[in-house]
Amino acid sequence: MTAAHMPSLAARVRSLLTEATRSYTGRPVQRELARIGPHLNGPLRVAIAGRVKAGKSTLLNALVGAAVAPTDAGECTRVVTWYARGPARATGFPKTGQPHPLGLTEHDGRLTIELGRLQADALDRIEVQLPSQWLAHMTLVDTPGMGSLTEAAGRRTQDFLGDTGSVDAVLYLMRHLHSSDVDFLDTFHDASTSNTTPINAVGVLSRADEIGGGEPGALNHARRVAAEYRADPRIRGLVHTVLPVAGLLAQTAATLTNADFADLLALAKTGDSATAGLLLSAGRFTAPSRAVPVPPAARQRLLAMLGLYGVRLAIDVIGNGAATRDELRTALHQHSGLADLRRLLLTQFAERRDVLKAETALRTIDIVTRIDPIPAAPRLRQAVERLRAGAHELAEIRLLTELRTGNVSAHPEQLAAMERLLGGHGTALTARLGLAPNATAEDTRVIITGLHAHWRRVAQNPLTEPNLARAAQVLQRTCEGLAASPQLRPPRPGPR
Amino acid sequence: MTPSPRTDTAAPAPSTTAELLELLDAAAAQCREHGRADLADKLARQRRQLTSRAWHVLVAGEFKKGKSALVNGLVGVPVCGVDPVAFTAVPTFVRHGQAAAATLMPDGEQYQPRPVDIRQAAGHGISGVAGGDPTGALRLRAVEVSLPRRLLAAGLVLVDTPGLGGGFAAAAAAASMRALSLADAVIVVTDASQELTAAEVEFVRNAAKLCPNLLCALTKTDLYPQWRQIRELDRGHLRKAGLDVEVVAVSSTLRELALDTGDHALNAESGFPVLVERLNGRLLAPRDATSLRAAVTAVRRSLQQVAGTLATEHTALTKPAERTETLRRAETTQQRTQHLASPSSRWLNTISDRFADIGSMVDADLAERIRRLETEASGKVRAGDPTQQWAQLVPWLYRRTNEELTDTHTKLLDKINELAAEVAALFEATAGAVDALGGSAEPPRAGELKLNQLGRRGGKLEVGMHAARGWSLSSSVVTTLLVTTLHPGLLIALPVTAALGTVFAIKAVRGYRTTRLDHARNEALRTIAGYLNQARIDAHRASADLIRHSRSRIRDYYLDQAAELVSAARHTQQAAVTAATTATADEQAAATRGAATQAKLDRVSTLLATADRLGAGADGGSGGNTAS
Repeated sequence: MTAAHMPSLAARVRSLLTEATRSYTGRPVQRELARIGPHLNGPLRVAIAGRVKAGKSTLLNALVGAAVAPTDAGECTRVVTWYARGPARATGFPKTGQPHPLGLTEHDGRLTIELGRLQADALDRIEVQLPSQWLAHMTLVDTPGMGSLTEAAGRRTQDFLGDTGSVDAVLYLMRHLHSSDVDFLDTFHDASTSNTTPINAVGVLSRADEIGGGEPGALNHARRVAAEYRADPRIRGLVHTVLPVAGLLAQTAATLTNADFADLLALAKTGDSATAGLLLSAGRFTAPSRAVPVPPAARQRLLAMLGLYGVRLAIDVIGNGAATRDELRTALHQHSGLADLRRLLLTQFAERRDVLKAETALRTIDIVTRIDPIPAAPRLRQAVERLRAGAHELAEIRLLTELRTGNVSAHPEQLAAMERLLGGHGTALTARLGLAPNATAEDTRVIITGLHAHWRRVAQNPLTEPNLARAAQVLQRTCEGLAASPQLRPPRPGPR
Repeated sequence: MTPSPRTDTAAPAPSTTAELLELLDAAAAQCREHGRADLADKLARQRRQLTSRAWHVLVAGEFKKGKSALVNGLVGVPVCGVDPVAFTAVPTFVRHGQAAAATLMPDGEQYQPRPVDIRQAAGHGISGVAGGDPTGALRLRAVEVSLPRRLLAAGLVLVDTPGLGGGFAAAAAAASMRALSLADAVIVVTDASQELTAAEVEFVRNAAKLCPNLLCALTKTDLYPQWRQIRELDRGHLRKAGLDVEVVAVSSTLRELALDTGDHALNAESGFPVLVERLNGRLLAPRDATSLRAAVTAVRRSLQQVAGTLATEHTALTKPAERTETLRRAETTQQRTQHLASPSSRWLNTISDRFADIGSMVDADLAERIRRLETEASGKVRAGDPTQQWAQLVPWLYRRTNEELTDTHTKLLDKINELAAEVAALFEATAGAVDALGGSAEPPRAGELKLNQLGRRGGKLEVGMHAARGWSLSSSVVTTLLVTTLHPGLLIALPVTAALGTVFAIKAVRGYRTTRLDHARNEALRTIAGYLNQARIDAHRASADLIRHSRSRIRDYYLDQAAELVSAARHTQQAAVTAATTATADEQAAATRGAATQAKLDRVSTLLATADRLGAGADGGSGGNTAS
């Protein structure tokens, strides 16, 4: 059976899932299995988790491109809220009873979800649909913060994340913390008890603009901190990487209005002496002042949207020549680190959609067979194993996790190269090989052949340590797959 | 929920302090006049203590909340390390000094403190090493800084700490609690970026039990526009937790700018004037009240001794019938005071015996608790799957360990307090029987009241407050104990990485292979045993330090008192003999001298009355707040 005739991974998973669901008819756990089905073909589901006030809702707004998740000073998000693509609409799902449509009102550029007479505590979840470009790549889930003073809300998130199959991937947000800090440990406690691996989890160092008290070098400091976290073995075993993001800047880059820009322009045009005093503190920025052409209310709005760091940055950027709203928005977006995060999410999550979905489904089936061992259970588990063994994509991500958790003994550089080849930095051919996008097919083929030979040697060498040998076999297979990829096929000879 | 009492002790009015200084001078003069130079010296020391007794203010709070910047803002010089990325590694002690100076305290008994340029002190606070040492970086225990600042001149010692916070699930919680029990006041620092977390509130609650003299500082108000909202939310959380703690909003950035430019408006906006006022006022008040009571007590005791001598002399001169009796009594008194001061005296032996008992009790208690914990933890590990539960087990274990250690420490403080009260009663009973206190100015009932007043403040060692007993750990001892307690090595973390390495290797393949359960369990048990052992060793060392210092301080204090009484008795006896001889020889001269002695006695009595008045004023101001 050639590759062209082999059913796709998704198809095989779907048929196994159907079989499993049928086997468990009438049993309570069937519900778990039945839940997965509709999601298999759906968009990737990514949860945003972290402590209270880590910046989850702000990041969500930045990714979605609209100010919809509430972000007040006090603790906000109380209910797990799903954001999917579609015409603007919101629905509340009470713990008991029918789903209830909720109002979505817009005011001053901000969307608000009206609960009406419903209480947040009575809701199991809220589902929101928005016509957002980003939501075409993935569905986002905003969660109540953990470590909440209203413990119930935090526990719900814990339960939610711990539930297999609820989401396919997680973004863990954390602020700048010491490794002995309880919050630091707790964030990763959540990571380790939920069903995430370094494949489907990414760390975000949030509120990056506040590091160092908001001084101009804050984002540079943030990059240093993120690098430190990346190097920490505990974190390496839990998330793929850690990126710094200034959520507020990113959110505003998406939502800045013309009026806002006009105000910032006016402020930038005012003499240095007047603005210097304003920029000293948040309090001074919003204080009434005759020398400033922008009224305090408008300044307050700017401060709430950008933060003091953002305001200083924006005025600086305008002062350096940005003349249009779009130029400023681009600068803010660039500065915020969101571009890097988007890129990472696309390669790490979106490109792997099928594989991550398959993984969630298989894991759920596996757990269900263990919880409820009916006579058919061993057969189902074997089927899962066969599928896993037969699906090279799954073998790749399993090996990627093992590389991260220190299960394969090799030199760090060798480990990094293996990770790249397995698609750890992007599943595209050029990403796996670390080549420039314009590399010729010939060069690429040569490199692949070389790698293939190398890994075959390692796999066949009797002195190679067993774990490394197994890894080498997977890599060998990867190379074979790459060699057969369409872009490398020699051009079909034209008709004579 | 019983609210944790804020210290209501009002600071004595400045006029009271002035009067007291006068009183001390007058009393010292009287003592010297009557041949008691030893008492005069003691009163001179009290006079110095009155205005500058060292007072340790711990600046606590989680990492990156702005503690170091706060201390720098208070003293106006960047002596504590402030870095956007790195964390404070070792504590910095900032006290008054005639000239600006800094000293590094290396870790290890064999190393001497080494002076450095004060401009480099901050860097060492962050790095935690001495650096520039040819034999390699020398780890530090602490950094000491002295500055000529008016704020510090009254005896204030500011202690900048590495992150001290989090609830009992934090690794360093037990050490934090020990440090808090030594502090005279605490500033808990939180910032305006978000409201108080559950862990922060728990920390404030625990801190308030150990050191009720506490306030909260809300920092970085320059950066966060909603700081007022945050402050309200924080106040709400504290109120809901039953805590009556003030929240003072500040900005160290604005303060620094204000000090650079001399801008008063900016300084006011920084909120630091309010903080300084609180430091000099409410937080310092208990110290001042304590000093006042201590000074009054010292004056009373000294003058009573002098009065006793004069009274005996007067009796010998003017009452021939009682002469023999007077002489005999003076003789007996002298013998008894000799006994009081001898090494075989009961109170002295009580101290040695009882402290030895306390030491054994603490050891046994610690061992028992740790043993129980280990059993509990092993049970959990054996019952479940450590690979799945490790991440929950670690915080649980920290929390339980810290609870047990803090409990032991609190018990220790209680026991030391009890012992001190017992010794005081024993000593005073003996001294009273000796009649060396003389006069009727000190009714035993008032003495009892003072002992009862000490009450239970959650086991806080009464080192600064309520020194009615007179003794307290000296400031250098407190500093030493704080340095040991805040040792960076005490931020011991359960060696999670090693175990997690195994755990996650297993977790990663959890779904794919059978777990190597036994291996994981053994690893977990080994790790836990190692952690608990280390915890026990640290706790034991901390207790031993505290016991050692308390014992020697109490003993020295009462030895000094006994020596005074010996001197008093001797003087009395001499005076009685001289008076008797004079009187027998010349009745007329005796009568004249008797009148003169009466006059002297009257002068002393007037001073005693003043002391009583000032003392009653202090007691009245603070009365009724210790009932809770």
